Amino acid sequence: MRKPIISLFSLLFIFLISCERFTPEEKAELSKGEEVYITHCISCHGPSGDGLNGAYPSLLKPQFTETITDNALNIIRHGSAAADGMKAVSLSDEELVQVVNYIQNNWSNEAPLLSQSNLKSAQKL
Amino acid sequence: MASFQLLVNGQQHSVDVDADTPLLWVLRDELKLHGTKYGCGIAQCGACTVHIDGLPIRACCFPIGKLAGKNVTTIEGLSEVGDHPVQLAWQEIDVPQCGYCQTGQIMTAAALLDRNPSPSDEDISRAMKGNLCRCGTYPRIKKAINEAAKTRMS
Repeated sequence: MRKPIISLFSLLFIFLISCERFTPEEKAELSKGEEVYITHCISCHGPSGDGLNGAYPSLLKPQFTETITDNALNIIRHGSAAADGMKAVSLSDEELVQVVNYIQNNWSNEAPLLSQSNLKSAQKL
Repeated sequence: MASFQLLVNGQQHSVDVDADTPLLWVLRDELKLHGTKYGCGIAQCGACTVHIDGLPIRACCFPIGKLAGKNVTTIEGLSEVGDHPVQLAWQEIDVPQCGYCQTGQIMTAAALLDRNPSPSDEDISRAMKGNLCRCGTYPRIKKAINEAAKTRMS
């Protein structure tokens, strides 16, 4: 009787592992993105990503379209066109991808992970 | 104007200010905690860094109206007698030149070591990138953070 129970737990464990959304490598990259967020973004967009009193917009979205993601990449890199809008943030390509992946996959957000090749295609727009 | 309760360095305070008043000006003008410095006013330089619930936040942009239930720590509250490992390392390495940005640097460094007790040089560079020092004391800042990390681990 004991062996079937152990096997059941083993199967459940394997099932849970396979359900993980991110690989350990992806999780490590998201952790780096969190550090970039803490350094450059948290003061205005807040620890919960919900912005501050309307002055700084919420980063929580029901979904991330390609346009939303490309806009985010461009605003971080070049700043907002609005006079009192967000200033450009000096980030390497690697940091830019890490922080956008973190923002788009943290709190209630969910989106496919970007790579640096996505970044290059976004820049062509 | 409205009345706001805030917890700063373990002490409860009540202030009458507008909800969008930045925390920096509440600290400096209302609570007379002058250790937190005004630098750029747009969260770009890090001079005004304080901890909000342990995270390094630029006080110049953080409105008082968003502080309910949060715990603020300023440089005055990092350690009662100035013997936080980061502060001791700063003295040991003799980090400051003009000193203006240093309270922000120390607060960011202390928050980093709370999240990551043994940071690599890359981790330090990444975490400290938002704190500018016009005197260019960056090599000594990095050395002091490594020193503080060793002290904390021993």
